[in-house]
Amino acid sequence: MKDKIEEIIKYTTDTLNKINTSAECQSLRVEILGKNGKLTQLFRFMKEVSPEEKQTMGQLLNSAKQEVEKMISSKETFLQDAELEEKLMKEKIDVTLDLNQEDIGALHPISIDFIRMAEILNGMGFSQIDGPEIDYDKYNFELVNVPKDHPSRDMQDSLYITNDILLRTQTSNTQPRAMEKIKPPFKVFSFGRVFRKDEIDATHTPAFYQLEGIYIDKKVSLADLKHDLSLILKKYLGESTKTKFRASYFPFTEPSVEVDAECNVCKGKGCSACKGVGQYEILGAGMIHPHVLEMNGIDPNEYSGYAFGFGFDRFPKMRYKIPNAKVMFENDVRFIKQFK
Amino acid sequence: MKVLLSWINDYVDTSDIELRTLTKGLTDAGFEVEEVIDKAKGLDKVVVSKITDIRPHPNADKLVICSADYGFGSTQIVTHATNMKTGDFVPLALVGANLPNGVQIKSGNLRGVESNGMFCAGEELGIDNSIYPNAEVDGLLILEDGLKVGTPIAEVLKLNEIVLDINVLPNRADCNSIYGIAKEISAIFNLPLKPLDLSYKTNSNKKIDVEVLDYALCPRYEATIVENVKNGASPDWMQRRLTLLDHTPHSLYVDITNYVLLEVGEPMHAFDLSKIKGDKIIVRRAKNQEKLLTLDNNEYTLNENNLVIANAVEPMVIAGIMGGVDSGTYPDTKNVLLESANFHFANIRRSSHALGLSSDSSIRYSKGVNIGNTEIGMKRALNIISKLNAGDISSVTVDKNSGLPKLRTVESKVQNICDRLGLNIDKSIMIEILNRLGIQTIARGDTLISTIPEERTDIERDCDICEEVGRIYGLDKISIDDSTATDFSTVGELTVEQKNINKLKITTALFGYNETLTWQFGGPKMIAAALMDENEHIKIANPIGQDYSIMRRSLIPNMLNTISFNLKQGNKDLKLFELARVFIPKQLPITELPDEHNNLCLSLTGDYDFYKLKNDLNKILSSIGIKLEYRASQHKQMHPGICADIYLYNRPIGIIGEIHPIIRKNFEINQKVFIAEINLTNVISRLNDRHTGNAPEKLPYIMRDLAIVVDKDIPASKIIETAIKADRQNIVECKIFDIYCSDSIGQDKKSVAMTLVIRQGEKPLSENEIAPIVNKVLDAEIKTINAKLR
Repeated sequence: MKDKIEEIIKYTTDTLNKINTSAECQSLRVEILGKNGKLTQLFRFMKEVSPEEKQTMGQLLNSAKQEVEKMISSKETFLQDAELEEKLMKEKIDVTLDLNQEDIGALHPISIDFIRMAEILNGMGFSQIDGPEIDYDKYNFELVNVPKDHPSRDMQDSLYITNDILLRTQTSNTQPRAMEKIKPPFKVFSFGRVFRKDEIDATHTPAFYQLEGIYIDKKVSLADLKHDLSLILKKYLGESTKTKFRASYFPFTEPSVEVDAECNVCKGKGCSACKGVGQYEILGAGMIHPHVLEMNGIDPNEYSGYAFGFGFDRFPKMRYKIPNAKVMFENDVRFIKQFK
Repeated sequence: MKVLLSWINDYVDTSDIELRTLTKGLTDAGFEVEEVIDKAKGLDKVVVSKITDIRPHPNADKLVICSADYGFGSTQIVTHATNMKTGDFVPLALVGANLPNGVQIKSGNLRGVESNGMFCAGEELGIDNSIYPNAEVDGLLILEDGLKVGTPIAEVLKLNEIVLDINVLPNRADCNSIYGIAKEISAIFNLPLKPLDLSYKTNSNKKIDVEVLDYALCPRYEATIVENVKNGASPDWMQRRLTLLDHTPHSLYVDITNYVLLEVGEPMHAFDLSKIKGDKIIVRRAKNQEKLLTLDNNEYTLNENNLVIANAVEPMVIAGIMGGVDSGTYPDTKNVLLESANFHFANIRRSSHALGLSSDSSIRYSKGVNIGNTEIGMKRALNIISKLNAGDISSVTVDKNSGLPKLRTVESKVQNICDRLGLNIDKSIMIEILNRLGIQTIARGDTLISTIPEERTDIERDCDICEEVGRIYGLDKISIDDSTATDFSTVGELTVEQKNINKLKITTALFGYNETLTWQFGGPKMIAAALMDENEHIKIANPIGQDYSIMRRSLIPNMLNTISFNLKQGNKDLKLFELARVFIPKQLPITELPDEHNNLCLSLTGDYDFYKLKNDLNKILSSIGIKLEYRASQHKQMHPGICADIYLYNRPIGIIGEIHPIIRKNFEINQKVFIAEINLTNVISRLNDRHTGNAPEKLPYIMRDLAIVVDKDIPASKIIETAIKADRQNIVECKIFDIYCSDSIGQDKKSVAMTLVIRQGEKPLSENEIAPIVNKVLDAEIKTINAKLR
């Protein structure tokens, strides 16, 4: 009996060494351990074994059964893994290929930069206000102190629909509208298209974007303007941005300032990028003219405020080095897609 | 405005100020120097040379070989000029010179003979007779004898001149002159200002009758007679200055008026007295249809908005703009009437625009000239005439005016100035600055009392005084550390609408759509191409051009233009969107502001279909919590079978569909285009934060398929709605997954297969409980839309 067991184990070992598939493992299992398997048959001889030997033989048979099962399973698992691997390898694809590709779209650079700027201004405490693009002369000119005889109020400079309704020439039309609704102190900004009757050429488009902000409170000064603007411009144009003030003129502010940024190419020394002056104009600003406050029901003896505003198109143009205004508004998707 | 630095120096000595400091000082004080023009530019390697020998060229008849002494030795020049002789002094451009006309001088070889430079003609040096005698002759510029060879030519031509081009801001029209800028420089740099010489000798007392009929348009008119004039060429120094500032010298009296215009900013006019019929000047509005032939030989038809200077018979000058053919002075002019006048700036500007006619005078008047300047201009002109002995000046200057402005005083508080500027400036410094500006100021306690010079019409109240102090003190001295208004803190916010707009833009882009930005106005052609009615649109009264004349009510026409453009650029498979305003008039012509809506327009063209666009639109809008409904409809712009109105809460807010082939063709598009446009006004007004967070049902949903046959034109939305309404408690969702048509079902029928998603309650549903639910749906479909079970 003992010899027979050893013979079966040897047979199993030899057979397993020759086997290459997991299916053959299963066949072998049936051949040895199946209903009529070689080892199973040995159990039938147990009743012929003497009672003294029964226990020993029983243990011998059981451990042989376990050993055989372990040998087959181990080989079977090994072969199954290899077979799976082989099957997976056959499923190999070209991962560098793009099929059925759909791209995401892009926002226009104007929108991208506006959203960026809005976040900065929100962080500085400014809330956004919107005004109509078609507005009354009153909001566009009169209430922001543009005198009746000012050239911008002539037909040749502004686009009129009726005698007193026109396409706004500046986002400042939101200023009196804000003062009408909100009591100071407040900080607001507005953004949008404005329209001038310019001849259209490489630098002039029939409309452009403006962004402007105002802050009205007790004792607001030009120092506050400089403080806030330099922060805004640093966040927007880069931490190294240096801003400078020089005197200027706008009907709605007094004093008025032109804000220049030091040229970031030559650091103020003067180069071809800044036409040799070391700086470039960023925006116009100033202290809101007391007459504007008066006209809009705010006492200039109690409150003062600053205002700043700038043409917005040039900033994305500058940041992305876009060669001219024309390509910004032709809407060729090859241009827009770059800004994904 | 261009000013000549050496002319400025007549009144304020800038010789000790470095040019860079001068321009920076002017710029910081509000007088931006836009350009510094060096008149000697290009002349730095051109020197005086003496021709020592001229001999024929061996290989060319038209060339000669010259030897020239240029101070540092002798050199050989080959030239084709013929107007020189041995011993002449001529300008020599040395190798390396880069002449004003752009010619670069290199050593060369002309027909086998070496030439080391070039003798120059006046033109090559960029000069004319007003700069150097005979500069305009054909040939070399022959210089005067006896010059030192090697002297830089700029020195000989006296072209070491600097011209500054200054941007004078509109509120400082008083500075549109040499003297105006000199005053500013004197204030900025604290340098003494010399007064204008306004004295003159008179030796007659003849006068002319002047009548001003409209003082609103002509607040002041001065006229002085000068007899026995000698109207030849003006003196060299005058011609030179005019030329350096781009004015062509004409004759003495014209040159004097131009000189005064440049120096003190007063436009003047000189008449030949004999041409003034009836010996009378009348300043009046033109009659309608009155005609005048002007100096530039154009005839203008005037109307009563134009002001004219007339004699007793006819108009002679379009006031402030241009003279008529008989209004000038001539070589044989004996007696001159000099005019110095003030005209209303806006009237001149509008007349000039309306007539399409502008001149140095009209440009100056349009910017505004002060009423006091009338007198200064006249006196300065008479002073020059007197000094030049150019005629007998009458002691009578007729001065017609509607009253001259009185000196005004403005009070301002020292503390308010400091508070406004955010600068601590001492009272005494403020007073000193203001006095330097000619604004006589004294202090009474902490109040400054300033007397405003007549020409400073820009100074009206305390904030203007604040500006004067600030800009001379230096606005760049303001420090951000002095910012004090920090006690106000607020959260900057966007409104729900603004947030939703930004969110929609970003979401739409993430779905693959590229953002376009088009103009708010279009042309009649575009509107007609989109089969829209021009007359339902707001029109601009004075558009930039026809293509920019109609305010859009829809984004679709522009979108089609953009698609057409992109296809022509070779871009295929376009997914575009625009989110921008449209303008819906409340009435036409408008009497109040129109409604302005933000619209969202999506478009697809290429390998896409209607369902793709609809699905994208639904997904994009669901990002802000909006669920849209679609109802089949027909619009001129859309394919009659592929078009729907879009509804939100039973209100129509937009359309979606395939663009009608006729419209496509109008926009030269040869492929299918799918477009959706919705009005966002009610869509974006709510913030999407209203959802509650329910736990999901414990038991999984059960799916049951159902196929029914219905009439072909029953919309899917109706089938789904019926299914859900049949058992709202149990039916979670109904999804149609197949639509099938065949003759066996019937020509007008379709088979619709759907999946019902059924909710289980607390306990699992048995088949016996599920069947009645499905049957309930089937019954409802049978009852409502006459369906049959397939």
